[in-house]
Amino acid sequence: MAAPACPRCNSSQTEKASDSPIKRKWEVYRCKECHYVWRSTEDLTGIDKRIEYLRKTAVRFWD
Amino acid sequence: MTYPFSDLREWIHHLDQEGELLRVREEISLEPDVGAIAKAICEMNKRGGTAPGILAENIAGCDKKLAIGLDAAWDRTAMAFGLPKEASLREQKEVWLRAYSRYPVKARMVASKDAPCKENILQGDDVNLFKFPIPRLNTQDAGPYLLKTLCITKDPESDWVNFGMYRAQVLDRNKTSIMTSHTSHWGEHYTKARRLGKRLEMVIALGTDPILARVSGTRIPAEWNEFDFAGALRGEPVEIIKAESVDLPVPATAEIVLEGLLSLETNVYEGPFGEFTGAYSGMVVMPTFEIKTITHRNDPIFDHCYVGRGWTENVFMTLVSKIVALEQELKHICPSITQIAYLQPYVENCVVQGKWLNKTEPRRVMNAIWASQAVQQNKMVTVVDEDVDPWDAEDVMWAISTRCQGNTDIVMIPGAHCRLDPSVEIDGTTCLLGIDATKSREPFSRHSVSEWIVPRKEMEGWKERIKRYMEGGKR
Repeated sequence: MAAPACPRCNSSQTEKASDSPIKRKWEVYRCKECHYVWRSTEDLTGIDKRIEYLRKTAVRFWD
Repeated sequence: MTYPFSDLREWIHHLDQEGELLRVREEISLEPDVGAIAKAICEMNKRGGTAPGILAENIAGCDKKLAIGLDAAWDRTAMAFGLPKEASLREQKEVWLRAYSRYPVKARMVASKDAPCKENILQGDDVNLFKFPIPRLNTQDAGPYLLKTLCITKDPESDWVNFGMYRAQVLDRNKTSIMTSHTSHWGEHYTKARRLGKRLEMVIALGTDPILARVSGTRIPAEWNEFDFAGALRGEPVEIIKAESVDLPVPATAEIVLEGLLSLETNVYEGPFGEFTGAYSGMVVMPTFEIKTITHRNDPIFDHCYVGRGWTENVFMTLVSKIVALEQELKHICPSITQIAYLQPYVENCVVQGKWLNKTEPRRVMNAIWASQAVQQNKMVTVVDEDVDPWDAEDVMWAISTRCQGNTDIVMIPGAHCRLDPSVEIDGTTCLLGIDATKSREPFSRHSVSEWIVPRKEMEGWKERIKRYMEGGKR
């Protein structure tokens, strides 16, 4: 089964990173675009989806 | 006195015996339960409350235990120093202070058989951070985070080994980020490695005795070795062992050890993360930490702490050490200082009490603190006299109200570094704020107060007598 879209940036570039150590309790997914990581059991309805704003205002200490 | 805790397990055992630990055996979730529990402990303990630390033994989907809130209480900060739980802040400071004169107590290398952190060695496909119960604490955090970390690195140009407590976002089974800047000792190492074009090796050790965690959260002088400073605090050497796949020492009794390499380029958007300022820091572009090896003890415990809007666990953990580090640095520059305090819960609000010789000293103190190596960020400094309790916000506000004029006693320095301040300007800089709330003195005396009211000396005795009357039911 394909990994769900990223709940933060809506990218389809996501993948399952792991199953729970005790099987069938949760899966954890990662977004290759925005690096968001989430568990399948989380309520993510209120998360901040302003990914462009977050990227634009990102601090670059090292550049 | 010998330091009583050689590892996290002895610390947990002690807390259990002291009634400071709750073993939670009912099933809880990583999200939202752990973050909610952790914040609840901090809130309940902010003014001397007695909520215990938690050892969660049954986390949904996990086969490992999680400890949270072990350090989130003032009596537990005392016990972490090997003192009785009722030990005062002054006694705790004395323990920390002694370490400066004892330094260094060199760490002792032990054999593999004496290093429980090597009981399990995972490499290749077995490296998977999601085997450990690492939660998302606050709802807008970009993922699970490692927080109570010892991030160990070595200066690429010398033998200086440093460790510090930096947040690390879990990005994948074998990858995290790390978040800190050039001004940290880690930053010095990473900057040199980049200049040399050589990837920096790093170890993140998790789950140690409480002294190592405190040392990790404190800035000690550059080129001092934190293991040797922890030894000075403990009064005996810290036991270390060489990491499996990188050339770095690790605490032999750590619960979990992550070994790997940092990317040369900054290639990941880290954050947001709910910081101790009470706000989510935005994204930061940081390097990736690629984990080659995980070693861990049998039945490892993931030791975690709460970071978020104050009260927050990192304040309990590092307040004493931060003040002592600052006092050490300032004692020769500003000998008139009698006490340094931090008004809680915001940990960048410093109050300095002193017996000032003249009206210029408070400004000298402000500048010394802002230039200090001991604290990387200190947005606000309020300077008060010796008759004001720097720990009492009401007393400090009284001094500001009665001894300070807005047009002459406020110092503002824009364009300063304070990376986590949520109110920074668009260019990422903040304005430092100094408040001189000290009495006016000759020759700068400008108002008509001849003397400040001091309570009658009999007041303390009357407090006791009134208490006795109340207990005896007498009026």
